[in-house]
Amino acid sequence: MPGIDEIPNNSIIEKIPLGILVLDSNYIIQEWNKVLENWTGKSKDTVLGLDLRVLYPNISENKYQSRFNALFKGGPPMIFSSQLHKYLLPIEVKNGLLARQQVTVSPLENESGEVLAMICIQDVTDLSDRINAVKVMRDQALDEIKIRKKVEVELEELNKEFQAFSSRVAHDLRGPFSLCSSLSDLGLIGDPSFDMNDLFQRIKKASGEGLRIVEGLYKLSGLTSDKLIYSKVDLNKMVLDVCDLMDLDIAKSNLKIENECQHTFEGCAEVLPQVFQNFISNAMKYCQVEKPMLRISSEEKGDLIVLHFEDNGPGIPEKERGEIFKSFFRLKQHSKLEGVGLGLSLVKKVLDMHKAQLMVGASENLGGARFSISFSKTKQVD
Amino acid sequence: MAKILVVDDSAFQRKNIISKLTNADHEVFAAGDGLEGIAATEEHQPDLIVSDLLMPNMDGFQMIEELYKKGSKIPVIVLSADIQSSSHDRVMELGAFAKLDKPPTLEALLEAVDKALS
Repeated sequence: MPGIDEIPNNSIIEKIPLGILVLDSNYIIQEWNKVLENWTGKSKDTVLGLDLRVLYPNISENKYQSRFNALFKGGPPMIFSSQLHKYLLPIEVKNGLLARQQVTVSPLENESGEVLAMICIQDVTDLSDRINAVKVMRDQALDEIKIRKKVEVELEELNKEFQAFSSRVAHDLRGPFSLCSSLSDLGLIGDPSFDMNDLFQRIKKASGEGLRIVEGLYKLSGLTSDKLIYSKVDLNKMVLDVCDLMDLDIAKSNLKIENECQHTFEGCAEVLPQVFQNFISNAMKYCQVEKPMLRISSEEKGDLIVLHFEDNGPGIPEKERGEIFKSFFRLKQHSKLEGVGLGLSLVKKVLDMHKAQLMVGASENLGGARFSISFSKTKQVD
Repeated sequence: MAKILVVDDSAFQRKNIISKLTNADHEVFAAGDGLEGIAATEEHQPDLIVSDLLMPNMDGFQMIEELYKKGSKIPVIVLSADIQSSSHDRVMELGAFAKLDKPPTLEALLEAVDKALS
């Protein structure tokens, strides 16, 4: 153990950028260098001979005192790290903040063989600040990575969805075009058993089908929430208007439509008719029963207006209900019927823009499918 | 010239395929579903069968299965609008020669027929 005589002379102690003090086993201050004077504002003359615990009561805490006592009884040197203890002497540096200190305490022996404690304090506030700043940056980088990973997963999902959508578009466009090609081949072969007028009618119909798909895609690509203009929508009037527009087709299909709508809500009158047109078209297409029927009704449920479409068709099997809103999905049982299967995807997009919820189930009243759409009475914003 | 059996429940599609195959100098027979297809196969012993998948009474899957169970070696070209890979895989697993999207172009049909007969 070094003797107190071996402490570097004052000129050195005063020059090194460390706070240095020496305590005897009664915690009486024996040495107090200039750095400590600067840090604490307490001059050497005023502190020498004082009990450090009186100046800084935290030294009386057991976590310090027990270790100092051990050192005075011949124990090993000790370190109070800035990470664990933050500081030994509470010294304010700026704006009420206390300096972070890395402290080493070494035993010294005085002339009479008494063990003293030499305390060296390094101010690591700036270093700690820099470490903290680096930690903040590290945390931000980790957050950024997490966000990026999440976005990557979302993009991957979107990409998969887009690929599936493209594949369905390609398939559904291929259908009418290959039919046109196949029918044209028949015309070119000149088989007299084919009625040319009938062939042209079929080609016209197939090309019309292709056009409808393209128009549907245009509608899908053009519909964005920011383009919607909201106004009060009268459901009863909207049903009547759409039925008026589809009058000829409805008459031809023999579909009976019951309109029991009587509510209003805030919606986009420009795109909502698309919803009605699609449900009516689908009822005409899929209700292949003797007396096809579609009932459109509305009810008020708290802040919601719920619109119901019920038919007496074959209904939608439970396991296929989740699939019907994927663009171009067509139920297996209907795969031989005409139609592009694009309608419900458009409906879903319009409903998403209105933040409306759609449920698919079975109609207890009519025995077929039941689609229920919950609209908020007032415009829903992001 | 080969003997080809066309199996499809749609009269128009049947006529469509028959016309194209006849025009390519093949002798063509027709059946309206899988059951008729099996009967026509036994009666005419065709060199090739061109069949739809979704048909009433007996569909294309069942017909192919039944034919191969009976030891038939006749190649079958399946025409179907069903794009699900599971359907395609099942058809090929059953032993079909090829599956074409329906309706096939003239070129695609004749190319598959030529390959199946060669």
